[in-house]
Amino acid sequence: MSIPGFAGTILYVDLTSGSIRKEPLDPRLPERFIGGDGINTRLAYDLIPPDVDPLAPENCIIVGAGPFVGTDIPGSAKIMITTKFPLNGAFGTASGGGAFALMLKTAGYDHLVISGRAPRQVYLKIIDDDVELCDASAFWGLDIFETVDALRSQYEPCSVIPIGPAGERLVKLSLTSIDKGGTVGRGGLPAVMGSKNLKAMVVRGTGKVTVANRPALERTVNQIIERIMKWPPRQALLKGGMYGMAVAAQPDEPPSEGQTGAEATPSRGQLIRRMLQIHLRNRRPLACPSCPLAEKERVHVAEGEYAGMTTYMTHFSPRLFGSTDPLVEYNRNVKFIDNLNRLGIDFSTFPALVSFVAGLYEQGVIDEAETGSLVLRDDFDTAMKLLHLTAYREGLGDLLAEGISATAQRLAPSLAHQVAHVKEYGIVYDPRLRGLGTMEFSEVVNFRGSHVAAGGSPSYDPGRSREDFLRHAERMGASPEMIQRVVGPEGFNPGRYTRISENWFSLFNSLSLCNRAFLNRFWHVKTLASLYTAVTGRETAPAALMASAERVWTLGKLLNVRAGFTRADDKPPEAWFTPLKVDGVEYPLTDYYRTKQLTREDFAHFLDEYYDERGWDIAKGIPTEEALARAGLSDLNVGTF
Amino acid sequence: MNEGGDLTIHKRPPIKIDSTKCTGCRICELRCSVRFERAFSPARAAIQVRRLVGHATEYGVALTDRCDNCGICVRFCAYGCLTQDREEEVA
Repeated sequence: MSIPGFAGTILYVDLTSGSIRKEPLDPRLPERFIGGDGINTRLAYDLIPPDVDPLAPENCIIVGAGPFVGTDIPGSAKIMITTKFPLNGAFGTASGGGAFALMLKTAGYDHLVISGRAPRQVYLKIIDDDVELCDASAFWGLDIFETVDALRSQYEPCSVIPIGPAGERLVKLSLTSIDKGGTVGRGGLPAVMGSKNLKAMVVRGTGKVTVANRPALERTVNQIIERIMKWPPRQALLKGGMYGMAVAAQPDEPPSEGQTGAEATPSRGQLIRRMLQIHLRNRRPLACPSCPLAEKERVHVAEGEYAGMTTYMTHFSPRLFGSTDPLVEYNRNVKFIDNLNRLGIDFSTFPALVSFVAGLYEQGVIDEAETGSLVLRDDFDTAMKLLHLTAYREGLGDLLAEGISATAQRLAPSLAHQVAHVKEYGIVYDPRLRGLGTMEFSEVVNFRGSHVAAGGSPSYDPGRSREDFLRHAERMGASPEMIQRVVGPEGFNPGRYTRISENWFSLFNSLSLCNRAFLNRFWHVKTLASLYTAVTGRETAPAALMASAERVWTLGKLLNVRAGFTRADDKPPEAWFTPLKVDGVEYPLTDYYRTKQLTREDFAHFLDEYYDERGWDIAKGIPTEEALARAGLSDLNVGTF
Repeated sequence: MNEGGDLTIHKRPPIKIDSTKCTGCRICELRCSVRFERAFSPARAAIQVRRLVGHATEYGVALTDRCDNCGICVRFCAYGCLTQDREEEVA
């Protein structure tokens, strides 16, 4: 008899031998590690050797759907995928939306473990009990969207995680998406699939998800839904997506002096606003299962150079290619995002790499001998050319495919510091523009790489009050003692507060709950504990749930300590200590409140405080034996570190 | 029964669907399936959301023969795709 909220089965697929076996879920796993990311990480501890080459058959892809998946809890659709990533050799869990988690759970599986390397190109088909490795030779070479279409034509209704050309060619900057919508796997998950000759996973489930106490679940879910439906910004989100919300949050900008009327050159802010007006005409919102706050997008380009094109994206997030015509700029951005998504290249790291190599060319550091006769500029044509070269590993792209450090070391070792990255992941939030909040700080300490999702807190927005930080710390499950340490009279400490953010993130990932800021804000740890109790039938107090969440984060760290990572890897990008120039204005690194410029020593002090808050060894930046015992992990072999 | 003792039959009005507003969230399927299955099971719901490959509306929504117009899907549709007139007395 399985635990309510769980399907009760782990599916093991070995690609080398073709063996497929189903094992019951050990009830001690959810007891200690909740589910989703937590159980994935615990399985990874046993199944993936710490020093394995991420592209070797011995690496595993561990897929998990947490206990909330399949219910109507808003945002309970995230699939969790744990592996050792080829971009930097770090262990981590990638997550994405779409229907894969729902389909996997209703097919009868909480987790799916893929090991080995198939002797031929295959895709994994799961239709309830029918699990099969199928010939994928006809699909090899198709891009990500084409692969989804091909599999849908056979298996719809289904959910698909495919790889594109970049994954097939083991590009370390590769990324993929689920059902064309939710991106997943920065750091090269598709390359791991490609190394296994695995073109795609397709799943359809027609079974049931039972919960222990439906009336209790329904009462709480209905209250949350009522709040979400009445949330004033909801309509703006549905209309304009994440891009619309971001633009709406920016202050209005008057036309520059001497520039009025339609003929004037638009400022950066005006260009962004005009692109939004075009985007509003072209987009329609798409949702993940159970979500009343749809933010994925289908975009149909109505006018301009690429009129008639239809594409899909997590959200429209333009970079500026240099045109002053909003329609031209909009069209180029949609095309660029479409190609990134089809070929399967990381949208956060790749643009930083393009700017870097184009800059090297413009400065005369590299020439046509290195670029393979290409003239490089930081513009649309260069970005598109390099994107295709990288995805297919041709010419200069074969080098870019290896990532930022490999590229910099080969082309210009002395200028490598110009690219802002942590553990090879391009920076998403630059603290020089925003001040040092938890999202920016967490990019440095995240064991997977500079991943912002784990660092959510009120510092997501500028100018939040001390009371906001206190209130949210309590909401996010911090104990009163922790809150006292983390939020002092002067305000919050980003190093210490990041522990709260990370534990909260681990909880969401283990439940398979969406962590987007606009959904996250509706949850209180007490609500999640009552939902967890209603779903599983296990009476669980908020403090116990948070203890499990901290255990999950600590175990993720432990996997990386075993793989050789130390404090030396939690290194802020050198570029952060030089002011950032935007439109002629210089932005130095400052604290969140913008009262003080930060030095390397200041940053090192925040790192000390982060490790101290976690109870880890400050000098080494890793968990101590005592910290592991506190986290309930002393039974694991910690190895030597 | 009404006060006079006559039998009154209430007919639930049909559910109206505007698929152009569907985002594919499947909340309707999840809610509906609980009523029939006592568990969440989108595949067994009396309302079905289907992807329309290559179609501008993206999703199509249809009711199966099992649907008795109870309206739970209408109540929880978050995007205005489903509507239903008020219950009417037909006898």
